[in-house]
Amino acid sequence: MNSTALQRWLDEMLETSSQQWLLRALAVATSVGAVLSAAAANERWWPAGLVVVSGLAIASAIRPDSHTALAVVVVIVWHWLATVEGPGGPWLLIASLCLLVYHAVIALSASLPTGGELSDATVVQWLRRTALGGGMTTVAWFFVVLLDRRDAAGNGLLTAVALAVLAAGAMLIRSRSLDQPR
Amino acid sequence: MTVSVTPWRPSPAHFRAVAIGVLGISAALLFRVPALLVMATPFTFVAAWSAATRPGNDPRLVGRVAPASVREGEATTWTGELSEVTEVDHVVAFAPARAWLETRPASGIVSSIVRRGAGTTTVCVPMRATHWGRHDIGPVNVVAVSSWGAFRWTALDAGHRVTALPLPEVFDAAPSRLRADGLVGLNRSSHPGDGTEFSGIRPFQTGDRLRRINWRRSLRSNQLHVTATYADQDTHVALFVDALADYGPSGGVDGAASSLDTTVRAAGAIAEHFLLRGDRVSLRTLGSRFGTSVPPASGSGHLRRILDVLAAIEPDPYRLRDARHARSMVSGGALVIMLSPLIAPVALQRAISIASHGLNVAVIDTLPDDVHADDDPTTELAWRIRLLERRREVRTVEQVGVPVIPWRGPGSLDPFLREVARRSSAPRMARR
Repeated sequence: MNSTALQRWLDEMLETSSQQWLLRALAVATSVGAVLSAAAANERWWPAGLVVVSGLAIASAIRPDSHTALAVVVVIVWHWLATVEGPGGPWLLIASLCLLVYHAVIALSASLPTGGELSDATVVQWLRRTALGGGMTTVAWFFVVLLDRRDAAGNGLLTAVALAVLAAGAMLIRSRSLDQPR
Repeated sequence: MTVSVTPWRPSPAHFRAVAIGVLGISAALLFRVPALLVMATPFTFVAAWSAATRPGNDPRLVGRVAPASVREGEATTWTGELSEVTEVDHVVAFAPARAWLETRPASGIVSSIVRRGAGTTTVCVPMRATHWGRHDIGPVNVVAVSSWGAFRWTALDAGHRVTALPLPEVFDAAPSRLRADGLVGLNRSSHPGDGTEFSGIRPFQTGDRLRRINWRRSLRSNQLHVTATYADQDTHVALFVDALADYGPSGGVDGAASSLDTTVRAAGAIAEHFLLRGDRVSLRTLGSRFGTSVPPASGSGHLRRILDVLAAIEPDPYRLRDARHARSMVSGGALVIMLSPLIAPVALQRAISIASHGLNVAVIDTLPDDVHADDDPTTELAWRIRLLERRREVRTVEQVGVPVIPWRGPGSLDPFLREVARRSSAPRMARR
């Protein structure tokens, strides 16, 4: 980093609004919270992972309009799957909610320049949406816990139908995302 | 004017939600990992919501600045009106920092939520002009964001300009009887005519108004007499503004005033004072990049015209030759006021030249007091030498009868105007 880039970076830090600082701190806290949930679920600490996730989360908070946040989520999910046996109980729900909040905060932070502040109405609207997403996640977790307790056997037909629905949904999302509807 | 538009594009947040949602659910189903299903659920939810509420049409942006003309220290507002924003979540406008324009908030970034079902929305960036002149606004970046920040539409609005008229300093002059040569006005003419100032009583002549008949005198003398008055006429005040260079720091309307700030604000104050009295005022700029002159006229509309020309002044030291040879275009009997920091001798030369035609000329010195203070001793020494030369030049000008008056606001011109009034009634010789 040359002196000009460093100066620009410092200027950007100084111009960052208090709301943006809050959003970025929340992003780092939720990503670390997800890692700690995994640690609580399997009762084993992962200091190196905590450092890696924290570093990536800070990088994603500094540059929210980048794909660094995707790496953060991938690392957290991979860590969970690698270390936690079974559904993981309530810690799975906490980790999932942390990921949802992390995603929402990074998306909100990326929608305006660093020095800007969103109106209260916008923040409240995003809170409502995130709460709705949290509700959906809770329902999914409850469903998974219920099935796990009943020890339900797998069903090939249902799995195939679910995959077909998922593929159709993915195609629809892709077409809505890339096409230019007029 | 919208100069650049980028249509709706997916953001990295949308890519993240789709990738983790679809791949996570697929892997959960294929490999029977219930934990992955739960973790991918919020991302699937966000991706589906974002795709379902993707805005179909590009919004239309109309940007405007109102008012386009303000006084120094007053505020104007850039307003962006977006239509066809049915599925838009919120709109962000960013006006980059510009010299002498303070935005509110200071970052110049303003966001506005779009109410559900609303077809249009507006986003406003208030800004305050802290210095006279013409200031370009923007280009203002406008970003419309869809639900969950999944899609963004950007536009650039440019081409706006605000004119900050100089805020005239407080100025007043004691009532004076100037030489008047116009048709109507507040100054007493030396010629008899239709006015209010008593001149004498004389016998009735054909054409005299009946209301002027002095009945007491007429009854005593058995002959019709009328009350004669002096005509009320106006004065032509010719302002010359030296805009060859600007000396001293300028802090805008709330800070220190440079030489050109003082010159422009003083010219505005003098023009306002005389125009409100009903006199005619003309303006000529010496050395401005956009050299313009305003012919003599009166009225509040003319004041606005003069302030507009003053606001457009940009110093240009390379126009010294133009300033030296420009025609004065000053009629006989005009009161000439030259405003200059007197660093370039051209203003004094012009003042002497005009005074030699028998006109009343005053030079207002607008150089800041501490202009010579500098960290560099060589520069400070150079300034001191130039100021000594300047003092000699001022003495020379004063010896030929042109007063050089430091600008001190109200009453600055009072001694000069009293002298002009005294001289206007006395005969004198002039070179034509």
